[in-house]
Amino acid sequence: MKKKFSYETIEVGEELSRKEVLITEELIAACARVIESQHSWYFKNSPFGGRIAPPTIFDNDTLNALDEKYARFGSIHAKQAWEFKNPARLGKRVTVTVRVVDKYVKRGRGWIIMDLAAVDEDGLEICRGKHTSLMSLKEEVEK
Amino acid sequence: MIRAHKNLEIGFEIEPRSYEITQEKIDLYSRRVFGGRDTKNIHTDDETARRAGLPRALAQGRYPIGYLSEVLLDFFEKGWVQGGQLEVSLVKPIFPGDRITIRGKVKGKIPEGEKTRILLEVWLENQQGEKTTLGTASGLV
Repeated sequence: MKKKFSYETIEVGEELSRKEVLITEELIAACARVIESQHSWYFKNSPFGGRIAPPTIFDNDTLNALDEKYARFGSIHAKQAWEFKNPARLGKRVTVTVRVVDKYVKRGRGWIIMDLAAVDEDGLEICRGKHTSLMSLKEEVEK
Repeated sequence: MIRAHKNLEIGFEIEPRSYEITQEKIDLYSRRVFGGRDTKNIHTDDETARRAGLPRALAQGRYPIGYLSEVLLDFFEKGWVQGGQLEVSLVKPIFPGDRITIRGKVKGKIPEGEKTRILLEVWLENQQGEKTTLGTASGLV
């Protein structure tokens, strides 16, 4: 059963999700397709040795992790930070962990900050992301 | 396209790149989010968006950031994949029918080990010249 998505129920420090993602050709192609990229590093070869995924391959995983635990109508993405450390290589398994790192109230509205960390099967750090969202949209406020 | 190098001058502007934002592209992004399924959400359905207090369906905030990353990948090449940093605020919604242009300007250079970190001011602007997304990015050369 999913938890209600509200400022009160969100727990700072809570791990929302930890999952293993296999970097497949299909995953790379789906990500490249939505950003209209035919970059040769994704489809042929790269200077890293073999094909790699777009750096933003995990751009959905933060909100997906939130949706696994909370019944969320929607939220407004306000800020995004990324640090790209190493490529996510085709065929590698990557562990993606998402945590709530902060919440605060500004002008009477709740905000949430989530951190994403991706590390591959060799222990190589792939990327870190920080996602800041305004929590409440109208329908939730009216509930 | 001129690639990043350590002798770039402050104020150098990267080659802008434009993308048309369509409902079809937003729907495609949404299907990727939902495992290939079509769903009604604030990005794909005007009525759902209005129930959320929005004027109509709008693009996912993170979707155009993927375009920005592609431009920066072409600019920094390896130094984006290994060492790229990005911090942006999404200040204005992007709607189907908008044409966004990605821009960036060199604002600093910092030695980092044997490499140089090139700092950029980056932003996305719509067809009216309004900034929709803005912040900073950097990569290694």
